[in-house]
Amino acid sequence: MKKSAVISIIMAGLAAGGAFAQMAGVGMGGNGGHMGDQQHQTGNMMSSEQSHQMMDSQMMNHEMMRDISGMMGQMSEIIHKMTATMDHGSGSNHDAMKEIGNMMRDLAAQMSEMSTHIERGKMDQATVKAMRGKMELLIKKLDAMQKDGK
Amino acid sequence: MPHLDIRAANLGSALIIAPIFMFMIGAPAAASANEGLTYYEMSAGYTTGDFGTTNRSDLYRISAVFGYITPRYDLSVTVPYLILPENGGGVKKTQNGPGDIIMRGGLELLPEGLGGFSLGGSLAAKLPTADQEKGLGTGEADYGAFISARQRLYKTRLFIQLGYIALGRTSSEANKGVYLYGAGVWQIIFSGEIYVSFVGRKRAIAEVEDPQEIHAGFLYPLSANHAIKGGVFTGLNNGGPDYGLTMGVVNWF
Repeated sequence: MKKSAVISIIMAGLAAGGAFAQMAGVGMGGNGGHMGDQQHQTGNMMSSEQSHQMMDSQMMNHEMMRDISGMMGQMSEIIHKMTATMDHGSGSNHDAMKEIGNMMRDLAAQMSEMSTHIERGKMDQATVKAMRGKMELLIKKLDAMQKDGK
Repeated sequence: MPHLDIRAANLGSALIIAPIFMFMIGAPAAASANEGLTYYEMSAGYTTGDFGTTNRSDLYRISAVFGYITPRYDLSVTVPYLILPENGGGVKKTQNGPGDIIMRGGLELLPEGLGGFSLGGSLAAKLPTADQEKGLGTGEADYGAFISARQRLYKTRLFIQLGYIALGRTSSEANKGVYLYGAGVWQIIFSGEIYVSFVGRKRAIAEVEDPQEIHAGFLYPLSANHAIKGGVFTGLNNGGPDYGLTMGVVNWF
């Protein structure tokens, strides 16, 4: 964490330093006296900035968060299905309770693994796919238990 | 006839913006509370260039982004603050103030399957919240529609984007709309991701070349719920910026 914080501060410092260095030199390169040009370039500069923001041309953080969100959605679905299975009478069945207990342990392990991967910044697609596959299996088991319980 | 033009433009604008707001209001209600992530982002940016004119201009931007994202859709609002030094008629002065707010909603039209291909679409509106007199905005709302196709190949992702922005009714602009196109690649490297992309668009103002730019940047997770991101870009012709840079922090919960 300390290393990350130092990197963060250095990067922010470099960005701010660059910006203020440029700010100090504002207008030095201009030849002045062209208000029409000034309006045109301001319009073009705004269009450039805003069109990128509207288009979201980087998209990267969205994709990363979408991966995390997808796994959180699956975890939420598993918890809901566990509750539904217990509500449908499997709570009185010792074997079913034992199975749900095992699933809860698996789910806790998945949550812990996800947290570790994100913290280490190693949330690559292979990891995401592997974890989602494991959770998909849990969901299928719960679906089967719900069908057996009815 | 001018009245008819204005009515037609207003109707066109309403037809574009209505789905964005309906989507923004309706989508969160349709999703379960645990499905998505809320995030906010703070970033600062700098852009400089002559944009095909005889004057060089600088723009400093501080932006706050508030958003919500799920595997199926994402919503965001970008609130910028702009600092615009001016050098006109030999007089130097600096204008600053809130910029135009951008509202954006994206939908996964074709979620990623086993082959790694996905397709997304988005709608965006730029609201005229900036002071037009100060030159911080056009004083008109713009509306855009975009589509992006992505292909994941293990740790690499390729993408192409196409879009169209309907511009507000400003008489100084040569075009009433601009189309945009882009392509790029992301790569997972070390603990983060880097990207390089090309973005081009039709010029909004006559007498300059259609702007084309190259962007490069990174995203690095610092912990389980926040990351830093940064990027640089440069114009490939005189219609775009000379160069620019951006740095930001993203937090989600």
